[in-house]
Amino acid sequence: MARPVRSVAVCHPQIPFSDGGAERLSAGLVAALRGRGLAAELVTVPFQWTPRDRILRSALAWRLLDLSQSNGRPIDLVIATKFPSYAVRHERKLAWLVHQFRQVYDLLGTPFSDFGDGAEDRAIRDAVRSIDAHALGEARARFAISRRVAERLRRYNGLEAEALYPPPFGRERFAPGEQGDYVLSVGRLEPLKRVGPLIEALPHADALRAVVVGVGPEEAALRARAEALGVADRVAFLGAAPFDEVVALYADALAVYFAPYDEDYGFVTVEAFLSGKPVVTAPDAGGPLELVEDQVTGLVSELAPEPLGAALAALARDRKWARDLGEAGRERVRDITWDAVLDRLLAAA
Amino acid sequence: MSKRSKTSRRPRVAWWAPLPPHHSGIADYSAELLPHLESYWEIDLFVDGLEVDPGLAERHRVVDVRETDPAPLHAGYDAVLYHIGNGPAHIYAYHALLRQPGLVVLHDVALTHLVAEITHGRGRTDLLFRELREQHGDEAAEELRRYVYLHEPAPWLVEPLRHPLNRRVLAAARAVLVHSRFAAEQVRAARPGLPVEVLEMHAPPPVAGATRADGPALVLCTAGYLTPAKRLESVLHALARLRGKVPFAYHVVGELAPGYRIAGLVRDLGLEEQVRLHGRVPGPTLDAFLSAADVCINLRHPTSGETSAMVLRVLAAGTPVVVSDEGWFSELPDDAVVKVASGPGEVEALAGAIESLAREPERRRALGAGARRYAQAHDPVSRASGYAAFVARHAGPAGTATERAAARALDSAAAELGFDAALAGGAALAGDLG
Repeated sequence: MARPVRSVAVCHPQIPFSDGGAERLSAGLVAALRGRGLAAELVTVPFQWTPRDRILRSALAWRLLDLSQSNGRPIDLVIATKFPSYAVRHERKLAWLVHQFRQVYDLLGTPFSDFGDGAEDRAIRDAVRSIDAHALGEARARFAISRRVAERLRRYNGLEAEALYPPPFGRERFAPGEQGDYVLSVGRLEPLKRVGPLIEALPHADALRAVVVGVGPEEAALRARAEALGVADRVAFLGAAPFDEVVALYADALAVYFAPYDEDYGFVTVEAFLSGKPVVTAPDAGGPLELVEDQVTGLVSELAPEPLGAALAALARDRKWARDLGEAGRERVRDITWDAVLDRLLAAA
Repeated sequence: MSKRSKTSRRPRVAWWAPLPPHHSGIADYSAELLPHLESYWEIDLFVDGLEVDPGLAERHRVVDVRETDPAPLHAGYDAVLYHIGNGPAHIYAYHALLRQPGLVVLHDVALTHLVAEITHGRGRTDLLFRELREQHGDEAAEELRRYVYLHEPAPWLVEPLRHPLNRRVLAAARAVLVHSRFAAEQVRAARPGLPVEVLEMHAPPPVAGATRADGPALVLCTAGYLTPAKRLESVLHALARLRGKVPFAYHVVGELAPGYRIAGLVRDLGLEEQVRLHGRVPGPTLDAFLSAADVCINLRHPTSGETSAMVLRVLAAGTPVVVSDEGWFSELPDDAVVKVASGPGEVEALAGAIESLAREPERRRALGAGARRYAQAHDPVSRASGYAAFVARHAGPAGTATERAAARALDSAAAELGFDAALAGGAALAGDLG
């Protein structure tokens, strides 16, 4: 009989001075575990990926940690999330995979990976794959935050994982408000998130306004593009807005635009649906497509300015339809809760 | 449950030795043995800025210590083998050994040339005084004083084994491999308790197809790098005594050490017709000389406790060889070599030995067969297994205990994750912790 789980170490790599959805997921998991009366702690080690050998060193650093006990008391369970934190050794290790080191997998050969075909790059790539195979392979059970992430693990490493959708941070705060006249975009302003197509589509979307929340390297270029297209007065760049404000923006939006390239999961979809808003996404968006069903909970559109503009305009013209799609989305994510996640994880422990 | 995956791998060995195209017996020795050691070890070659034979560079990682600090790398090896010989080509290994202890293959017991080179030879005679005094006492320092100020003969040339200047090497060695019982005794006497093992040096494979000329004259040959210790003066004097009694031709094959001249003596003794100085020749030509000779002469006095790769090459050619009866040479079997005592009677003894060999072709044939047997028993394959056993008994990377413990932890962590810790710079990491 396995010992009942009383203490859990949630393992998550840290990128100092940077914060994102994955960090919130791990913090949310720790909070939820504590909410159930378990001792839970976030264990984190900084992750570096340049120069190349640092990737492997980071994995070694995790492997060398001893999380069998702390302060004389056993740590009953370890839940690891991202590469390379799952390299940690523990006899009761669960993997809840947020994502692998995608630069050596699906992003290889795209502009989003700087790995080439040289001998050193190949050696590091092979080593990363080997780390994944060993470290995830030895886990007692494997989950992934989306089917998309699980698919990649199967495709590249031959390992099965069960999709287990995490709820967004502050889930209970999201709720439908007024139906406004703007399309909301939330996320870092970087190429992979593809906010550009939203700006490009505005000239084709009647008088619809866009509200863009987030900061990032593309911000200046996006602002300049809005000026050039003559739609600057219809785009509000709000930067890094406080959480309460973002919740309110979701609540009062007409729709949410969220079309990243091959996203692992995408909390934005869930937040939009919890707020009763339809999501406009793209056919190659990855994770969001697991929740966004075209013309059922949102719209799946090509990202060229005209079709995307037309899709957005259609929602602006038929506001009831927009509301119905949003409500269907709300139904779709009803069971994405911390309770559901903990039930599943602890049952597998 | 988590699984501990164990990956079995060959031990990683750092091999510190000069290598071809550098010309030395130890460079050739390394190149001949390495192919046979590959099945036991994964071998990285540590060299001192010298060009390395492309065939070797293709099969091994080459670390040039002029470009890469070897110290942090060392923790990643199961064994670090320093080949130490009495010459400037070993200076880099000498320094590295003193910095990071490891296993030593001591090719010469006396390291007088080496130590003199890095002190006196670089204008730091004061350091040579200090070395001699610290290692061998005031008497040794006094000998150096007489050399420097009174121009008496250099003590390290006259009698290298009396003050061999090997104490630092023996202090840093974890275990020592030598090529003769003689050398082992010297090492044991110098540092009791230090593990010392004897692994006789390998002989090269026999050269096929060479035939001995069956002419009326006895064909004699001396080959190798020619220094005064090779006793060419004694050989020439002995040959002068045989003139008129025994018809002979004498081939001297090899480079003369700087400042060493014998052509004048050949002329003075009236041996111009019988004696030919060939200088250095390519390997195949050398083998042809050795095979064609009826008798080779390879004297050595004084000995530094070394082994002669050239004598082994002669034995492999199946040619009888006359050697000095001292050091390693004394340990050669009497059915393969003829020994003559060094010292005042050397010339007479040598002349007698050559004369009797000239008159006894049957004995020459028997000695040649014995020489071949010895060479076959000392083939590189059997030597390699001896090496592997030595390393297995004394393995352990160079460096501090902390470095080694850190390296082991990193190695096993990486092996569990299915990659080689070296890819993550594991050894350097471990070095940082040491």
